[in-house]
Amino acid sequence: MNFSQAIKPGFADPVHDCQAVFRAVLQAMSRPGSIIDVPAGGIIPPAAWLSPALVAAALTLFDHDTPIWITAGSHNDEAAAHLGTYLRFHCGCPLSEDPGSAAFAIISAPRAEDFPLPANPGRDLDPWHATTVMLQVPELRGGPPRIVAGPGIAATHTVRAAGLPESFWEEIAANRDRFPAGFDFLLFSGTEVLGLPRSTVLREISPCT
Amino acid sequence: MYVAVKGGEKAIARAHEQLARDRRGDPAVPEIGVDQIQGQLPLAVDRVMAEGSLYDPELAALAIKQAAGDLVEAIFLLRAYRTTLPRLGSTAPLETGKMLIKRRISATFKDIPGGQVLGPTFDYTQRLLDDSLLDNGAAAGTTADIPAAATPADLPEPDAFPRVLGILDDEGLIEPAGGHRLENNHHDGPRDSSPPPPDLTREPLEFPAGRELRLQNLARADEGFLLALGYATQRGFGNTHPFAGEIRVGEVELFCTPEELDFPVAIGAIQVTECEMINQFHGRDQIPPQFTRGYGLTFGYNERKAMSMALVDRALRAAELGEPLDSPARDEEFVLYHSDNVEASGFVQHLKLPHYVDFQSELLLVRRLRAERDATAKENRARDTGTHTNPVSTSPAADDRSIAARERRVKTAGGSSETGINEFSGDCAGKCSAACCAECCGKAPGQAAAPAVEGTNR
Amino acid sequence: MTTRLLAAAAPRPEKTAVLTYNFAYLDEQTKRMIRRTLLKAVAVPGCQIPFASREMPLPYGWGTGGIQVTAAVIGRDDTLKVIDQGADDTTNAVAIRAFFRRTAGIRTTEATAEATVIQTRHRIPETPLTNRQIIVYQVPIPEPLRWLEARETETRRLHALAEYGIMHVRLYEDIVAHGHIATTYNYPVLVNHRYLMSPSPIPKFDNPKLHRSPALQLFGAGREQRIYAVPPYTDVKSLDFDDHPFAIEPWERGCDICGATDSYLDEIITDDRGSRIYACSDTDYCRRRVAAQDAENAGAGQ
Repeated sequence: MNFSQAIKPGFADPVHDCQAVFRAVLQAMSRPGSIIDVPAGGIIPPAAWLSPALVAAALTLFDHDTPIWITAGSHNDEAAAHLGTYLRFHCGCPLSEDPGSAAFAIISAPRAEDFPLPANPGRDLDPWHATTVMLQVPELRGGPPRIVAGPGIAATHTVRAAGLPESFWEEIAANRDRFPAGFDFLLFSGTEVLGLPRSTVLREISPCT
Repeated sequence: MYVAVKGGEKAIARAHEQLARDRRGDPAVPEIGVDQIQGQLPLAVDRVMAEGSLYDPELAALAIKQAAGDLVEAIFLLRAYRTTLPRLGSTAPLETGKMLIKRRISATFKDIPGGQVLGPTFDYTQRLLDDSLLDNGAAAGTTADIPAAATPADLPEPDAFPRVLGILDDEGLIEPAGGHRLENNHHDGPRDSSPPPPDLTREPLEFPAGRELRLQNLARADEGFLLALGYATQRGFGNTHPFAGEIRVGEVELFCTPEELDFPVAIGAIQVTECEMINQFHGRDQIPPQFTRGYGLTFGYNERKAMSMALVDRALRAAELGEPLDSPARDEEFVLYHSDNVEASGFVQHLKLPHYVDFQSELLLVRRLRAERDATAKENRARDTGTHTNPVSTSPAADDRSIAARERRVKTAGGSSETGINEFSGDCAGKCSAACCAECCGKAPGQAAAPAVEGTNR
Repeated sequence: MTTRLLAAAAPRPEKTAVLTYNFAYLDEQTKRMIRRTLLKAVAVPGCQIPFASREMPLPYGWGTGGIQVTAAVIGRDDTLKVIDQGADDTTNAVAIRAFFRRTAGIRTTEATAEATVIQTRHRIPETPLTNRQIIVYQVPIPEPLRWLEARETETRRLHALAEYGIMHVRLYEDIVAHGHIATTYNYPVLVNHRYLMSPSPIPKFDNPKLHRSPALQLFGAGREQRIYAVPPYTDVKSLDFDDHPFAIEPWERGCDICGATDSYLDEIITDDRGSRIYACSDTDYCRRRVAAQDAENAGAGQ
């Protein structure tokens, strides 16, 4: 396989495509739990199993200044390496073996043992140094319901993302105790994204009285 | 009907026209060329390049022309342009030891290897206005009388000018460049293996800043600000006991190593002024008595700036050297946050912008306070004359609750560090929990009762 | 030896070509850096996030923070409204609107309801914002504790500990001296029950509009290199005391032009004897009310 076959193209019109994708991600982060369409139109992911939305968000946000930590989850290491090569080519981002120093982490198929995350949740003094975590899930609809509340949510919201281990929700719950430190999550599936920033809290599902 | 007079696009356009007219001046006089500014006002160009953080004499001259000679405005123009430039790479550290010397002096030794080279300097001129320049030098002699400049080939080899501070370094009497000498001759300065230096223009300034970041800040700092601070250290506000060890002015080459090559390539040369101050230091704990250094470097030819910078650099090392942080020049936050004239000039002058909304709210407050004060005074007068028998209402100062008690009360009410997370308060009329209303009451989340807004105007 | 040769023949750069600029002025790397900062700001409501602010072609203190945020957010499909003091036609608003028309070629509007992005200095529009809108505030001094504690190292520690006692003491000293809190603009707020935040120098009249606004609120301080945010539907509480609750400025009169009694008014001196009129500071709001009244009168006249 030669180089040109290995590296799939990025955005056709980087300036405006990045802007549109960023607005979708900003929307996801500021309205947690809502499913937002990512205009990832022209993107051909480097592997068929990769969410175009995740790849588009990566091309929008990564560059020389953002070390990336990729863990394949249930996908194989070769797939992770392939994604790494693609991102390194398009974004120039360093690939990091050390999740603690990563600006972004990508987990392409989360497993129970991926959480608690070995990445950096920041400190109360500088919570902005936290790693932003991008997860690919099979579905953002149809999974077991979780009720979330917090800034960006008018009252409460039900998240039905599928394919997330219980340990992921424990990580979300842990965010509450370590706030303002904590992890911000972006969940991707297909061409959609759903945000769960560290300010989002879980609500118990309790029966109505 | 009265319509409030406001700026508007037309007024701004007229203002720009007047500005252009004033800049051009008398049309009967030939327009000044950018090449003339570049060639004949080189020190102005150098200052604009240094504080504009961009080495481009032509653009700096253009900025000076466009700014009608207002150098701080020209610096701003250059900075704003600089923002838009892509970063193609970074050069290797400048080797000022290999400078092509134009001027080089030391105040610490009578003679030095290579000698004292005066070069072009105002230093020993009599400051008498030269009226021959009024008619472009015709009276006092023509430009033909000025001897031609030495070509680089006539200048001595750079190797002929060893660094003055290096001589002291060989004797172990001065700290190595980049850090003080410890007892066992280790030093904690930057080494080749050290991580790349931080970049002031790419990362927000954070404290403690460290010397590399401080020097970056000082290199683009306002010359007048550094001059005043440096001067203050000499008068006792953070004295550093300085000696001008060496000042050198000349051209240095720039090298960079492209990613695809593994050897450095020369990409050009720039003129710089470098000042190495030698400062007294009596030692402490692990550090024996030795001389310390203050360092100044600027684009172009500007000794005033380089020397001031060296004084302030040394003063800012107070914490590292265990000196008291007792004067402005030793205060990192004070110096670094207020050194930039693009920032300072903008913020001082933003007071010209309309502030009438905030002023209106202050106006209402002052009127109210005055009315209350007058009313109190009237009541007091009435009481003093015995016509008023009711006690005057006590001010909150007489309240039995102390400030501390009040503060405690507020803190327990909310906003303590333990609270951290939003407690959602929009539950549906207390009938079911906030969490479940969207799930089982059929209500859209937005229909949940909003919490009361205190003091709302709606 | 190379030194000498190269210095002698220092290549003279070609005449500078026509200068061109990127969409919305900023280069893509800078936009990415600001966009990453914005995501962090939204995730930690009210927390000031440092960013490597760039020099802009407008002076620091004149809205460079707001301009950088707007430039990182705005796209071809957006409609931009810019106000200063509530008005679309104040000099600074005109200059910033012209900047974005020139560098991004985007649609601009004076109608609050038509805008998707609103950049503002010192006011929040009277027309309620919606969940389709982003409002960008220009911030001069982002640190609400700055006039109580000049040192950044110290204020950062206070934020980490959520230790805001000094601000309560400051406000209480007002009460002791004047009988009530004497802060009228830039009135400090607590965001999401956690971070003390400067709402920028808006009059406290506007503070209630910050609370649980459906719009995304972004704050940019260019010279001070900080960005912060209030996501939609976030609790924003103006600091107060149980026995001295927060209250907005009372107006004893309405707008002399449109009659509004619910809007913030400018006091305009009309002659040298001190005569004055009062008019809405929000020019779009005032114009809309006058137009509606004219339409109603015309309808009634027929």
